Amino acid sequence: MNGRIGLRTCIVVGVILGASAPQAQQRPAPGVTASVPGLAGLWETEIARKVQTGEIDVLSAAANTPPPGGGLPPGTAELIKQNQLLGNPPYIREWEQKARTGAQRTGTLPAAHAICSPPGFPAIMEIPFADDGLFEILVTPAETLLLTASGGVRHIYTDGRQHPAARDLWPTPMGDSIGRWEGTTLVIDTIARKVGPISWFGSALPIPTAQLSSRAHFTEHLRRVDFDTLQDDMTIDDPERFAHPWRISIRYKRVTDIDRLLTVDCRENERNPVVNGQFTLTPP
Amino acid sequence: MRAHPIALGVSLLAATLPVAAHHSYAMFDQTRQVTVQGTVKEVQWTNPHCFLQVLVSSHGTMSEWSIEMLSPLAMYRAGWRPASFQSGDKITLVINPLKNGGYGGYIVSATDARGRVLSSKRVHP
Repeated sequence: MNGRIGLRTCIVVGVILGASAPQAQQRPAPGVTASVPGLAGLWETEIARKVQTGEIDVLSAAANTPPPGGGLPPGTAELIKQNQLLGNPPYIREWEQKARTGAQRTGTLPAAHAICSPPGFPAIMEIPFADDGLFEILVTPAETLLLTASGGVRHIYTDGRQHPAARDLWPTPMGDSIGRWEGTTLVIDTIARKVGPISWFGSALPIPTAQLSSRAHFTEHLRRVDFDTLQDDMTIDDPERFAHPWRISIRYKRVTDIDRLLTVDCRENERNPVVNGQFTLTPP
Repeated sequence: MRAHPIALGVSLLAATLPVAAHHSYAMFDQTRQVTVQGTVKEVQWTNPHCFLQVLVSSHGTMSEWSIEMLSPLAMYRAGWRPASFQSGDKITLVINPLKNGGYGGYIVSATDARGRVLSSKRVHP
């Protein structure tokens, strides 16, 4: 008897699932239309692409030779110039002076494994070179996720929730992100970011980056501008330190030379310890 | 005209960027390219960097060279596979040598016994 009921139940459930499955498949993913394929997939920064094509030369000896009068090697200078997260924020006078003072420290090289630790926000949006400059975007109705090779995950919740109440919120490296879809554009609101370098380059090299307070507020419009290109228009407002909101844009190109995200774990075979302030190569 | 804080900061440094990797390449002499011929002892297809361990004979003395490459992810995108070279393969390498004169360097290209060439630079970005 139980067996007959079970079989009948299975058949009924199967018929229902079979009838509803095609309808579920026809429902487009968030941000997808007949002409716009959405955000999902593997992407690399336009800057990383330019490095690979040689449009930005950071590999040649000339690119790595500082000018005779001192200053940045030209390759490094060009890369910094094109990275808008390394731009000059609209500080109020007090913080402009503090940032300048802070910029004159030389710092020390961080340990290699620290350089390829998962990035926080907004560094994840410039996709650290330690992550080979690419990330994967996964879009679901409830949230959009940005995944990096070093294990970094940015959650952008799109299920209609608000930011947590103040008593339930504290600063974290990634901050708290909620999003909503405006057509094919994902509009993201981020708060509660922990104070620290906003650019991965500020962690990888002893160079300063914008100094934000924990009250910094980020608004992003992430959209596909053509089949091969994403663009993130980011507005950063810091009521404690900025005279007005700071607007930057980051572009991404579609990755076609690999179809999956591989994991990078810098502890696996670390042979480049820092000795006397210099990276070295450990013999076998 | 106000000075750029970043320009002020890094003007004190001879900083080179860790491109597609987790560290600077300042330890390698990027002004020189050296050709090394030998036999592959071991392929370390590992993070954060892949390495080729190569046995090189010179004037009757055998030495082991460590040839640093990019991450498996970056090498894969440049056309390499874990079995592109295997233990015992003859190999001709072009490298940026270590500045300290040690047996090692950063890979520019590798050629196998059949003349097939692989580099660490992506052909199709």
